[in-house]
Amino acid sequence: MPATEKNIIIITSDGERFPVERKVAEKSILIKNMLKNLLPAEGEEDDDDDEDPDSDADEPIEVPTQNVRSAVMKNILEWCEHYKEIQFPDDEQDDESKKSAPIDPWDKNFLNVDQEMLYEIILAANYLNIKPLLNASCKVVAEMIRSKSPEEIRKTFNIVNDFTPEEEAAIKRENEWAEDR
Amino acid sequence: MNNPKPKDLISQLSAQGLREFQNGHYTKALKIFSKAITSILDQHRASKAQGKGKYHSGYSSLLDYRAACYEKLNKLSYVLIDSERLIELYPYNCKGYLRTAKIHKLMNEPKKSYNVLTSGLEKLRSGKKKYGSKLPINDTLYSKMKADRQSLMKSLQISKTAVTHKNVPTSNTDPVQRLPLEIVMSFFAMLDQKSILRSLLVSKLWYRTITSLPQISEQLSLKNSISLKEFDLFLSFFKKVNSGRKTKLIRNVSLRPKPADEPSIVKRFFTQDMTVQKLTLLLRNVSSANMDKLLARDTNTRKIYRSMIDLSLQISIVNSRRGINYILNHCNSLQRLTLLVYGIANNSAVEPLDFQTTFTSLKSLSIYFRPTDLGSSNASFMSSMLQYNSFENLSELSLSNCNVNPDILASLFEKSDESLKALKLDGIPNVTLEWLLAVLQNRKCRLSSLEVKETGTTAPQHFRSAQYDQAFPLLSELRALILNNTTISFEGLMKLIRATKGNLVHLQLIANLFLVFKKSVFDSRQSGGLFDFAEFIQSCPQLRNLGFIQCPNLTDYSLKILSKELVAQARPQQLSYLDISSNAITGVGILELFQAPKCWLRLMKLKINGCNVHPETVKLLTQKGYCNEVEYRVSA
Repeated sequence: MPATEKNIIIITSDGERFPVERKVAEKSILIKNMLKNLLPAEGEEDDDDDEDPDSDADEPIEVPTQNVRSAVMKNILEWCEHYKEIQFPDDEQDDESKKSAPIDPWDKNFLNVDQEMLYEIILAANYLNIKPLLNASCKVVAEMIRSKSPEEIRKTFNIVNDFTPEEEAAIKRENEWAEDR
Repeated sequence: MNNPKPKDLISQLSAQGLREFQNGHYTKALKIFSKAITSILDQHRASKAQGKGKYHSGYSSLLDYRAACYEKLNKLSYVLIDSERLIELYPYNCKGYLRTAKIHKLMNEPKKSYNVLTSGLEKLRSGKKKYGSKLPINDTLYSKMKADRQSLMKSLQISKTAVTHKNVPTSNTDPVQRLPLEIVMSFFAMLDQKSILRSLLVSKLWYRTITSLPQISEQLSLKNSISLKEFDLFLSFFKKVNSGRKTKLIRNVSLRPKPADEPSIVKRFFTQDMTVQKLTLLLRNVSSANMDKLLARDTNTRKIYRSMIDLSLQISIVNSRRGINYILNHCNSLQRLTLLVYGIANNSAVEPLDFQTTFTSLKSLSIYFRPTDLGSSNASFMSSMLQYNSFENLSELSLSNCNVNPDILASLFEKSDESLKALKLDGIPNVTLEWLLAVLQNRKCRLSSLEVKETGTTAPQHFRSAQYDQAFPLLSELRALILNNTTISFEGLMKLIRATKGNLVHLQLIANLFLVFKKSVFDSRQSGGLFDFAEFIQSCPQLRNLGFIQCPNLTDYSLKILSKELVAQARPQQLSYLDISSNAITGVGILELFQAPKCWLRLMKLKINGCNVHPETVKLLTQKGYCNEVEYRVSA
């Protein structure tokens, strides 16, 4: 079969179907592991006595994703498509250097969405287990907090200040040990 | 091989998760339940492929357990995912409705809560009609649903008017509320301490959440000259953040107590039950004797010492019964040790020998004395330190103003022969570049960095002797060379540079008496002994960082020749840092470096401290784009 065939169909929570290439879908480790069980890797023989073994191989595989709606999935798949040729190292332990590295410009532009979409991308990347996307989108949230005053942070996220001035002063006192607050 | 039956695994996980949950370890329990659910889903998918469609019998309970974990962790939107799924799959199980309703109520959505209970009760009633007593319905929970719905009905009617003027937007954009704890943790882990501490003030939810993340207290930056009162505040913050954590861990902290509070702060720090990976501790009053008393008494202190991987300690050395070697004896995990000796007692008694340590993991050792402490106490300290301890795998050694006997140094090199990579010997009596190279020449080590500052040598060093004829294999991997106050001649320097086979990246030449530059066209001295830029540039094409500091006779004329050679040879193309501080040069010569015809030189940073340059010229250097940054102070 041609390598670019879109033989994986991802079905979102709202029922939309997205046909994609296997390597695009496999950017999600969740889907990758799922496919490992369902779809034998190329070249593996099936023992079943099918009348027509070819028809079975051509059948697209449906992958339901209960927690992701189509608008979010569209974004997720755009990201997977962009990085489909790139092998991310799958080291588990978080690397200090990777954490402090600036956001990739393409990712930054890609993640320039409203907060609701950003959170849904984060939740989806977490659920689908796409570490590099999760990492990049968390960085975007971190940048929204970095070097801002509490009031600016509240404004950014539309949060109501529920501290009394006394409580606020008490917390400030608690932190008097810190360098450069 | 027999795999354990998956069903057993799921019940095992389920029981294990419940135990963690009951002990209050919600995050742990959450992970275990999620694992069980994932494996149920995997099984289900596999069996679906074979045409069977039933979920594992434990699924409904696990969904409810996990929802309970999310609830405890205040991840309300996540609770809903599980509890709504529970309703969808098990419409006759009351738990799904009850929890969904509860969460909506907590999220200040009483209407939704009411609707969930209403439709749930309807479903259950129709089920009862259809299946009668065959349908197992928990009566207690069923009546609870009814009661909850009743009370909601009342409160909704009462607050109907109250709700209208509360104009709170419905979409929730608070990331701490919206996202699961492990994700909240990961973006706070990306932030600096200042941003984290400011975030504490955002809201009560943020404060509660952030102070439950021990990771945020792993990298700490404490106030300089911190007082005991402030330090106690730190300790209570640290304890709060780490409560419920078995091993309290600090990855990196730097502590410089206020001198008056030093003893109490040191005592408090070292009696905490915690582990510390990297510690910088700068002391002026507390001496090595105080430290070893503390160490002898307290088990927590020993635990902290044992846990340290990287220690920088500024301390005054006082002879005591056990001595500094006793302290080091407890630091057997150290990979880096930096000792800044802040004064040493004038009593020259030799350190006791009963504490000898073999440092197997120590890679980097640095010892600094103040230049005024070069006496016999220094010598006896150094000999007990280097002679009686054993350093086997050192790759970096850096000694400043240490009165160490060259023989002891030579035997140290012998021990860490193959591993030694970086060597800095700064102001060690009787140690010259020539001596060092002679000692190391026949060893197996290949240095990548060498820094030498000599004291009191007089004769020029040319390295003419026959033993240097095989072009210094010792220096074949050298990337950085810093020579300060040495008596190396230009001939000697070129021999060292050629030994690097053109790979030298970093070179600093500081106040080397016999490296003399040609002062002007009329300088009639023998050109053989003078610094020859043509030859120099030719043999270091990879230079990125170059320093000519306080060089004899380095003038504008020298810079002109340097510039000419840079153009003529079109290298070193990577050159981006240049330091020509403390020379008798002016703005004219400096501009020449960049403005000569066909000049390509552009720098990241230029240092011209202590040179005679007009401030306008300094401005011009960055304005014209010759340098990204210029460092210029009138006196060096």
